[in-house]
Amino acid sequence: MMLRSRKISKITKNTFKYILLLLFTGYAFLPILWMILTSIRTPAEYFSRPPTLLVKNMTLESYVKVLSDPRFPQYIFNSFAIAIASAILTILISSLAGYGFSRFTFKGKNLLFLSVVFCQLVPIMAIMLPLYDWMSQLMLIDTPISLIIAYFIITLPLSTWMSRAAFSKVPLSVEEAALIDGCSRLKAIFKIVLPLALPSLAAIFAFCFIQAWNEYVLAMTLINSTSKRTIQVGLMLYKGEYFTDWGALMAASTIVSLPIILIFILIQKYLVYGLTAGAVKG
Amino acid sequence: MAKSLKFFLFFIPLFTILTAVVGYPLLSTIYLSFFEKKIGAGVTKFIFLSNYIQLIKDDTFWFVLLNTFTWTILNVALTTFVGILLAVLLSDERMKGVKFFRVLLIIPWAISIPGAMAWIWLMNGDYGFLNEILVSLGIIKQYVAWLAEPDIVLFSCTIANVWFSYPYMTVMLLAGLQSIPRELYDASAIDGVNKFQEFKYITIPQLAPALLVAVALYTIWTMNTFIPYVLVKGGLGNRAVTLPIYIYNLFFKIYDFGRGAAAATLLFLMNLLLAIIYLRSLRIEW
Repeated sequence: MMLRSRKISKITKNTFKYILLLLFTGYAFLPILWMILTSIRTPAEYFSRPPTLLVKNMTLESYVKVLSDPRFPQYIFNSFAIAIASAILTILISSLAGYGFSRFTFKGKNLLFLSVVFCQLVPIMAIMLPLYDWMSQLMLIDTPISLIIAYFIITLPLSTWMSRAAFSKVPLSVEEAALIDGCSRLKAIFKIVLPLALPSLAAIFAFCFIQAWNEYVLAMTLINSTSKRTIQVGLMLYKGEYFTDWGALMAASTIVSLPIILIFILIQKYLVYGLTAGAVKG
Repeated sequence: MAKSLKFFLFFIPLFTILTAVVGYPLLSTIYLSFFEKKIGAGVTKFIFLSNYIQLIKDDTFWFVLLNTFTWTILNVALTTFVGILLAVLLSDERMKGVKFFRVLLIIPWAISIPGAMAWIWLMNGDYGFLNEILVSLGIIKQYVAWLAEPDIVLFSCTIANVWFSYPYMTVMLLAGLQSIPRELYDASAIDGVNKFQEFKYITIPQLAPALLVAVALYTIWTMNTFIPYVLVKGGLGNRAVTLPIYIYNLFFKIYDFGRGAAAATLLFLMNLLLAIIYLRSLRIEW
């Protein structure tokens, strides 16, 4: 009898938990759902009151409109090229330093590491103007290079942090064994340490890519010409001041977000580990 | 000596870049804040604290500062609340489907501007579905133009901004919860401690370090985000203008670089306080 009532109270408690989780899932997916629904409707339908979730005449017109506008593939290409370049450079530089931080001991190492973490905490607006200045003196403004350099501000500190954690996970003894077997240090790094740290490094790479892909404040400041814009800024400009083609805007938004959501789901396990390893355990 | 030189090679690229994109610009912003520099005015004149004094005398600055605090407090409170709640819900591994929800619920993290655009359209006063939901639940009687009403716009922006940021908070706190030793709960169960006491005396104190790190980082992030700018484009008489947006306008719309630099320095100092809390809670030996 007692066992039964305890079982029942556990079921009601779990039901309550599921209701809460479903409520938050609703919050998480409502904008995404609304975005997708609007993208497959006719303007007559999405400009009707009261708004409803039902789609009467499904149409792909908005997608055709977005994809036939030459600016859209151009924006996607710009964003993609910049994000890839930025992720590659970031992973090279940060894994070099991350390895150093995880393996070497020297005076002032922690202070050096703290200064990297500190860089992550400096507000973009406190560096924006001088950054703009030196970039325009070097004629970099309005070139993709300006963004690739500027994105180091967002990606480098965190990825150094994450790669330090990744290399610390590879036991020093494995590396030392290779050194004793006559491997040179460089060979030991390339043959032993890198392969072992690879999954984490891949996650860091993807994370840098997502961050660069999603950035918009630097992108709207450092790039002026239409043909060089990134997709995030492009989307902001699709939303005109007075009239917005919501079908097209939502179709474009859907095309932009779905691949990123997929990448994100694939890497989220590593991402969560990389982000929390340092921060929580201290 | 040769060996330590080799060590340096690992760090040279990182620190060269960080100096160029963070260190040098930061110091020059602070330096510039003591000068009068505007577009067209050829000479840059040293005016010491005048930029700061002008800011302090400016009502708009105080209005924006108040907005920034309101915005930060609202978002940090709500996001932390949602984060703790979800982290506790998602930490129960015996519950079926928890792993599935863990993946599902962090998806908003991946989306930036498209998410903001979706929120703008969802909150539209005439055709947005949010109004329809709230009316049918009886929460509001009439449709509300969420992002066009000056009195509520900061609150509406918060609802959208929490959407972007609660996944981060949840993930950080979930990791914190998972690092609490199981034995503590087992021991308290033997002592006959109830769930509320367990939460108060074990979970909260054990979670405190992770909570401090996550909240400090998130506070910095919120204070500097441009989400309100993306959502309302700085309209509605500065109602949705926070400090970074104000600085952006001073730099790139009003072209008062000196005053912008002074405001940016103040923003940096506020962040510095939070950064110190954050760095201290990491407990890295100096």
